[in-house]
Amino acid sequence: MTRRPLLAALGLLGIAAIAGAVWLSQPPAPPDPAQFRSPAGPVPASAQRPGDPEAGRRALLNAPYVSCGIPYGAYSRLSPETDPDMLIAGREGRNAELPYMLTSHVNADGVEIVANNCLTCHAERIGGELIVGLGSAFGDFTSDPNRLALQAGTYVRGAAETRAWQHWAERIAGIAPYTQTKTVGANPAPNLTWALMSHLDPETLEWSETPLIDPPPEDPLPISVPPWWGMRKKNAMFYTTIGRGDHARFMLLASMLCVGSPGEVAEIDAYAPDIRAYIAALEPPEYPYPIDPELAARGEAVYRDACAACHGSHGANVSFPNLTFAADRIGTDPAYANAATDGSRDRFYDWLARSPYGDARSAAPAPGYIAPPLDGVWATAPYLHNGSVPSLAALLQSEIRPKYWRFRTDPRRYDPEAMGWDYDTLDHGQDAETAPEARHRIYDTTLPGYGNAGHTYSDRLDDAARAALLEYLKTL
Amino acid sequence: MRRLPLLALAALAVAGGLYWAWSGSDTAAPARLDRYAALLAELEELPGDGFPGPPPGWTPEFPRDHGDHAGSRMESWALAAHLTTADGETLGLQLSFLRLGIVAPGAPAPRSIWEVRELDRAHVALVAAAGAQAIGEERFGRGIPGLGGYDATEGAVRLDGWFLRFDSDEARGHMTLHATVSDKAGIDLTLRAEKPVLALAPEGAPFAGYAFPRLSAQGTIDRGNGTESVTGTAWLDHLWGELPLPGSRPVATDRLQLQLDDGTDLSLIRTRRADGTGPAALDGFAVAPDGTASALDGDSLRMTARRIWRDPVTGTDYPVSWQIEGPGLDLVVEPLVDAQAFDTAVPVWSGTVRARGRHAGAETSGGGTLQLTGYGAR
Ligand code: HEC
Ligand code: HEC
Repeated sequence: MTRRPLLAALGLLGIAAIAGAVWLSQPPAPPDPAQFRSPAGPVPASAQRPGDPEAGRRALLNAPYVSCGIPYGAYSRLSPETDPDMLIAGREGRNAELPYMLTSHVNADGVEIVANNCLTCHAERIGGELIVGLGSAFGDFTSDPNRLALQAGTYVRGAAETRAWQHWAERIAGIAPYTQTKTVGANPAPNLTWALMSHLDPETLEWSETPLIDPPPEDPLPISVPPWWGMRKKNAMFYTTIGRGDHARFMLLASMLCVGSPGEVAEIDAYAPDIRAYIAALEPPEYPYPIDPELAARGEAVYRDACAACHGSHGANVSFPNLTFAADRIGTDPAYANAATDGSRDRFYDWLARSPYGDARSAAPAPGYIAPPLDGVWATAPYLHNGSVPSLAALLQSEIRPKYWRFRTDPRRYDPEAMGWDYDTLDHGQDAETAPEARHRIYDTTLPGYGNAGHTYSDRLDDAARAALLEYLKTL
Repeated sequence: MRRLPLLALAALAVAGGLYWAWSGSDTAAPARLDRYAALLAELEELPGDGFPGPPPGWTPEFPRDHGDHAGSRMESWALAAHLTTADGETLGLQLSFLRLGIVAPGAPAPRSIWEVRELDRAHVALVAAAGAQAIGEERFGRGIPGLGGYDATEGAVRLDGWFLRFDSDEARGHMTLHATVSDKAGIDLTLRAEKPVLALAPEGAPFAGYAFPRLSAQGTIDRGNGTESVTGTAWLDHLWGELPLPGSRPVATDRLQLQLDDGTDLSLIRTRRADGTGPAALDGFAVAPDGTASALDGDSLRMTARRIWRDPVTGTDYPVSWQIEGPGLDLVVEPLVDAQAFDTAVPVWSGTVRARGRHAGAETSGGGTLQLTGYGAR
């Protein structure tokens, strides 16, 4: 990675310092809730800083935007060899031999660090191929991450490694209570971000061992990681369209784990527009199995009638309306949209406004969900913002959505008919399972935030129309 | 067998290992610390290459795997027994052997027998309920055939006169041991597996090994006033690969192995930062009377210190008594005697304990071993 001119960094620092001074001169006023909301309906476009997608891919795969992790020495003792399936092209130096979700760099102390990068949650394998930008459907956030930190610590040696490990372990300990989801595959990233904010001073980005503002609730709401290629069309980031304004800057929140100063943010922000440009240029993967073109053509007509008004159209006349809908109108689990807009997260939006990660207009969620672009939708199972529906077939017919289900993982297999990962329908929820490992594999739609109701727009179609629609969705 | 948590096993590997290594009983403590630090630094310089470690997909095969694994740099055999004499006195015995490869097995043949290619260390500790404190002895060797290390023709790991011999003709878990504690005691035991061997090869772990979580023990002990017969229960771990080096790392462990009278064996590892800050993680597994092992849910398990004992020699505070709570589990663990600390380079309390309480809805009791590391001021 080449360092961007220091000027850019200093410029940003200057802004942060002035903003800080203004803030200091007046008592903190309670945040104005209206400031942090958007109405349901169209999401306006906002200007984005231009960037170079090529440079963005290089930075994404090689740059140290997450600045703490496991000392390489300990990592190599724990994991001396890398499964070739875990490698990805386009990596430089040590990174070329690390699993795709880890990036190495040498810290100020001279210790080589291995840190989780964005692909930890934003890459997944389908049919033997690693697809960058596809949300991870199998990430396991059900156990206490302190365990992992302590396990790595068992292999740390020497004073410098120990200091590096401690920095990382301290951050992990800070977020651990807020990141444990109930089901493997459910992602806790938003709650993790709020938890970090509660420990970081928004202006100095100094870490405080005790929270500076009230942390979020401990149980994270489950989120299914959306595919990056949706950002080609979306005017705002995230399901609730909370991420407005400068997307590149907002994205940096995902690299906040170890941040310690605004200067560090500025350094990453210098290449963040490149990463954004890369993400917004990603193409969805093509459906790799045969498609019946006539059936799909009939399905296109069904789609035009029943779906396009919300999800946009594809093919020759591409359009995307960028619409959000109130949670009670769509009928999907309202917990995530409610939490975003009931005032219970406003202190974090305020934190964001005061921090180098955004301004007063950055965080503005709608009280519902965006109808996402359906490009490459065949690959993005499980479906809905909380990943509560395991296959597209089940999404299109609400009565066959399983109440309790479990992905088959040994081996995992993509089912080209139902369009999703193979799963088993169960007759019991998490309550009935005492062994923690088995319990965490059950998706239990009766848990708060894990509901699978709503979005019944294709229920009234007959089976033939639904089959045609399913066929058409393969072509997107 | 269910996969057991890696952390539980990693800590297990440590406990079997190096804590007493490199200590010279005749040098002053600061000098020993320096020496230990120097050795650790040296160990870090040792190339790991040439020691590929256990191959992926390893499954145990006996008698082969009782022996040493030259492809792994570190290897430990650790046996802990709690015994009763004919008079009803309770005794605790710990015997461990450690092998450390210095020169990779593929390297050219040694130029002389003085070239150190392997270091061996063995440690024995004996404690009696009636005694005031544990007694122990340690020995070092340099892997000279016939003196120390694993002897394939004998089927025994040994150091000078001490040995743990695996009987290849018989069922997998049949062994004999002999050890002495300076001129104070001599012990001979015959051990027989009461449960099948447990393979300890968590996916992705840089080490492998196995445990006999329950062996019946029978034999004699001579404490200078004639031979007494003893019977009891023992636990054996044998691990090899990249085992964590103690003392140079920021985390420490409290490790408890219990053998309950209802036939259940428990292994618990509490991993914490050595500096006392931050959260601790608890992992463990239970082995049912029929030998099936299952991971214990770390989230619903609690291990709480009940009593601190201060080592009068070093001033170190050790939590020697614990309460264990979990689903169907409520036990109080007390040491046989408090003074089971070893003032070595990396201070450790490693002793025999008794447990009493409830398990699976019934009263039970049992015996076991507790190892506390990382409490000494460093
Ligand atoms: C711990 C998992 C995790 C990591 C690591 C992570 N993300 Fe995300 N990301 C998510 C989740 C979950 C969402 C969806 C959140 C929502 O919509 O509320 C998301 C959403 C996004 C989106 C918006 C996509 C959309 O369609 O709205 C972008 C862009 C993004 N992430 C970029 C990044 C970048 C860049 C990094 C690395 C600096 C990163 N993420 C690291 C979990 C993660
Ligand atoms: C009234 C607007 C509206 C209509 C009509 C509509 N959708 Fe949706 N759709 C949404 C919204 C909003 C979401 C996000 C809901 C959530 O995540 O909880 C969504 C989510 C989806 C998803 C999940 C995407 C993912 O990756 O998780 C799919 C697939 C989908 N819709 C397909 C369809 C199809 C096919 C039709 C036509 C039968 C249709 N939708 C009709 C608004 C609509």
